[in-house]
Amino acid sequence: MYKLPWSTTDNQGGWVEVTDNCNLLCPGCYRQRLTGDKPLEQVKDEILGCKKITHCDTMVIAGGEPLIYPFIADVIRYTASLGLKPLLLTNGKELNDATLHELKNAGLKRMHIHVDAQQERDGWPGKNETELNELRQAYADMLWKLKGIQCGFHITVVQETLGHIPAIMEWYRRNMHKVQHLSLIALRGIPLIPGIGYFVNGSEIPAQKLVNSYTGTSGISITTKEILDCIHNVYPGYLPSAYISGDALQEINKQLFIVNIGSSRSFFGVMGARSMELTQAFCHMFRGRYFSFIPDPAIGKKVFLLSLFDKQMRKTFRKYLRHLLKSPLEVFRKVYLQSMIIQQPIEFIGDEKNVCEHCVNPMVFNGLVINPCELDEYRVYGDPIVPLKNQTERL
Amino acid sequence: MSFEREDLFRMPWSKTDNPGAWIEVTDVCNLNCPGCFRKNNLEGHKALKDIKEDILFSLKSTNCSRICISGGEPLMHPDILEVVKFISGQKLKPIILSNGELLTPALIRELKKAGLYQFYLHVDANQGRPGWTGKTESRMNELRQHYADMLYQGKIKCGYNITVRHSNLEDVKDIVTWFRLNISKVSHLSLIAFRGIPRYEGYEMFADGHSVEPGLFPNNVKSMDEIDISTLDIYNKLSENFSTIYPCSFLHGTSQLDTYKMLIINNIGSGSRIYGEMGGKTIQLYQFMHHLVFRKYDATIPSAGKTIFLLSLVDKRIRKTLANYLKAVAGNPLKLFEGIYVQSLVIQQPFEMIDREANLCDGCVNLMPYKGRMINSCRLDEYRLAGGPINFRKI
Repeated sequence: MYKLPWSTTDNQGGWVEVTDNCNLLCPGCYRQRLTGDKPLEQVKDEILGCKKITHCDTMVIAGGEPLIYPFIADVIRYTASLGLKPLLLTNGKELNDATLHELKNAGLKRMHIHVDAQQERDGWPGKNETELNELRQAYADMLWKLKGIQCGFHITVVQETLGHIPAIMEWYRRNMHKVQHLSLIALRGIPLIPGIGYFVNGSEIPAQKLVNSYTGTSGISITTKEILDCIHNVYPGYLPSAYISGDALQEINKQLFIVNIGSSRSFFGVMGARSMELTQAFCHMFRGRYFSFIPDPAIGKKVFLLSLFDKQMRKTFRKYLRHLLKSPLEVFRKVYLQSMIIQQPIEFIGDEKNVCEHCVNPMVFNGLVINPCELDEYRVYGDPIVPLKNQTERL
Repeated sequence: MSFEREDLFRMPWSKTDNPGAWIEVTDVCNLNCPGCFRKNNLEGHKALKDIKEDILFSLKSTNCSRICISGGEPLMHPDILEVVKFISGQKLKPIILSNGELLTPALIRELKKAGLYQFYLHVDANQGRPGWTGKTESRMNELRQHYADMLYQGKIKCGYNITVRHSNLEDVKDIVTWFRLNISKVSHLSLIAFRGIPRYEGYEMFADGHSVEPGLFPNNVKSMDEIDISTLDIYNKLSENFSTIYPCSFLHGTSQLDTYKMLIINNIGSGSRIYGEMGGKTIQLYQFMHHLVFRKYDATIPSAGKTIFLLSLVDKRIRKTLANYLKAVAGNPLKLFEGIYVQSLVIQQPFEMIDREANLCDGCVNLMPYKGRMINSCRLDEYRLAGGPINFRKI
């Protein structure tokens, strides 16, 4: 696998939160409702500051729920005017054709919709992840009909989700032409365990009062490896091409990146590490910044040129050629790219705080660049939380 | 000359994909430099078997292309030639970091035979070397020249590390003048701002569940004034004396992104003068191409001769350098027959505590193995003496 070369000051992505209000109450959400909607000027300052520091290609506009923010179209327009790709992270509840048209006209390039079974959405109570594919399909169809805004989904993975991953994957692959991204994100929180105290700026804090604290670690310990293993049960040989490791524990893959290649009817295979590396290196050399996502996911057959350098791509190309032999009409179908990220976000393991080594979406807060996962540590306590072993004896 | 960060390339190095790693073969030293971050003779020489395991673990963990053999004083280790041979046998570049006291022409021949790539000497006026006490940095250039000539004879690349404090800050220009005059013999110079472990009133030092006395560490300091020189202070001091000096790349701090933990300046010149520097484009191209071809990054600069000027096609700083060279050749055509060399000047601001928060190099090139994990070599004694990295708690 290729270790992505991104760093805080030279990154493909940036992140801004326009509000901490939300119209859903997802269990395990790491964001508290403290300050409500931000003034538009503040949001613009944060976007500009983030762009200047991170040299990002994409700006993720998140919340809270950004679609209930009154100036969301202005934010997207401003982001696009800076030459950035605006990406909206939403739960989709407020989505309708009129809103989508407005966002598209403002310059929105991509939308990632968080849909999972823990959200207990109105009209979808008690539905499991497989059944929720129906809701995902409705959103995907809405965006497909509109054209011009790419579609992606985020799913928080808890123990109950694991059994449904094959069905999610099958649905995702079937929608190669309509859905460009899927993030499977293992649930994480702050574990309350004996022997460990949580400190901010030298003083211990009552961690049990945090909204995302958990007794023990059992509900918050699914790893990227376990999720990948679930996928391998149905799709053996499905290989990630790139990764980001943990900052404190480097043997942990915090993010695994997979790029699918296929048509609206068929899945051909995945991209390899060399293709990922070439993409990042050449994009940086020619555009001065790293690559986030392709403007048009219908990349076409030219993608197979990468098989000259990439043995994984050669396998994918061979599979494509076999498809052509069986079904020659396939040659007239478009070839699409589809990305997938398996994530294990910020976590506390013993007295180690394991963040992603080089967060993919750093954000600006009070002039500092921080990980969005740590935002509420700053907002509530003024500084990041540090786990420490409880005092035993003096040296 | 002040510089713009936009012109510089942020090295794409990370903990798991890094050009460098660091091992320590002994903590015994024959000098007692004030402020050294390593406690002398706590554990003595490491067994060769353990050193080999450290090397293999470092290679596996960091994907490095070079390994610095450090100490203590590595030339005191009885198996130093075996260590060099083993590293070289792994197709890695071995570099020794030494005070040079035990260096002889015979040993250089042996080291060359064992596969040594480069020899870095730590020589500065604060070391209290027998026969060199009370000398200025300018006078210390005589000793540097002695070692540089000896290594040049033995055909091993030579580099220098110099600790910069207020007592020798004014003298760095003399060191760099000497360095530039020796471009054919000396390929590297690190000017390293002195750092140490500070005390904070109202806080106690804390590590691994224990409070720790600051006096435990040999590099504890009583006043922040001792450790407040920044890379920019050193750079500005050099700019006053060298009008064209300009960096090409950098690493910033982990918690303070505006600090330059490493500021890299690659001089291009001949034995008679420096014609200019490399720009960000060249170093970027070199890092990406090296990784694409060899699947590793490289922290050393190869001797490219006049072919370096081909990069003027992509790099405006090399175009300026080429213009200066061509002007010099027009004035004296014999200069066409002079060799062209590249030498790197690295200004460093090592591990430091800023407002009780650790500010490390983001992309540290000197990670080292310690008890089954890779740690920042600057922090080794926190692990050895206190059981883990230090934090601060309110009393």
